[in-house]
Amino acid sequence: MNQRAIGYGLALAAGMAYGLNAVLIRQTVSAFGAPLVGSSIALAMGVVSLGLLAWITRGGVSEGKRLPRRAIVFLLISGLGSAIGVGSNFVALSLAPVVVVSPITATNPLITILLSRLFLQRSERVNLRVVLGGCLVVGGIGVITLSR
Amino acid sequence: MLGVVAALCAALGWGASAILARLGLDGVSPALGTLISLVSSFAVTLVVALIVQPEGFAQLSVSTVLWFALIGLVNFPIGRQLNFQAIKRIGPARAAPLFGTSTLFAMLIAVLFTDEEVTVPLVAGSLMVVTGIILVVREQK
Repeated sequence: MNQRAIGYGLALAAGMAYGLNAVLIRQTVSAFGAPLVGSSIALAMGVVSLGLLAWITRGGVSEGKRLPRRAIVFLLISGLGSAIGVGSNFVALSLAPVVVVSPITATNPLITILLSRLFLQRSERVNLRVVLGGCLVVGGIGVITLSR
Repeated sequence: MLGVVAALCAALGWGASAILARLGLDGVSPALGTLISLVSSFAVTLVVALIVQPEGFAQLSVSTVLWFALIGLVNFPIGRQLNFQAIKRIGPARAAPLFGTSTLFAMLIAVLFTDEEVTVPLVAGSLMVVTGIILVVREQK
């Protein structure tokens, strides 16, 4: 099985994990009124479990000693971007209804496609098919969200 | 208006995060890349939570902590690592639309295990999502 097919399978599996997570979060946060506190706990669990995994396998520890600084900076900023996404989503949902916020936040794949076109031209080819596919996915999510 | 701006910031934050992850994963394993990005996310989120919702920490119960810990296990060692593994293989532009299926999967899980009903918009939206995925996955080289 080629790397491309594996990559698509992994992306769909990530979507499934995030979808399951959305259901878990909805059940938990509705009973607990501090989503950012909950996010902190969830993130702490993520750091601890992945840190343990890296330490147990030793691979992460030895790799960590040879990491290029550029990679570390990009990954740290990537984490900051995710945190901004979560925090901004929380702020948005506290100020506007879900039917307004969710379709807007769901456009993030299109933003990724646009930024890929701007910053990853050498390593990633973005063609009309990918753009149309992204638009259909975002449109479908909008239809599902607005119907609730 | 402020809510719309915040929602746009959220979309931009998540969208940019995927690009930055791709740039950072050159020569780095997705597992270690996930850990590094998580450390950053955790630090920022904890500081903001301590500033904005400090009373929330006092309201935590054992069961609540365990539920959020489960959410963390599903979302990060599993979800974000699958995310980074996919980005490293197919790039963020092709992976991001497939991550967007999380809304579809959430609805399907809700239909199967809770009281959510199958509606025409749900079916129509699902068809659009699946068609979009097929377009992305089956693009010609």
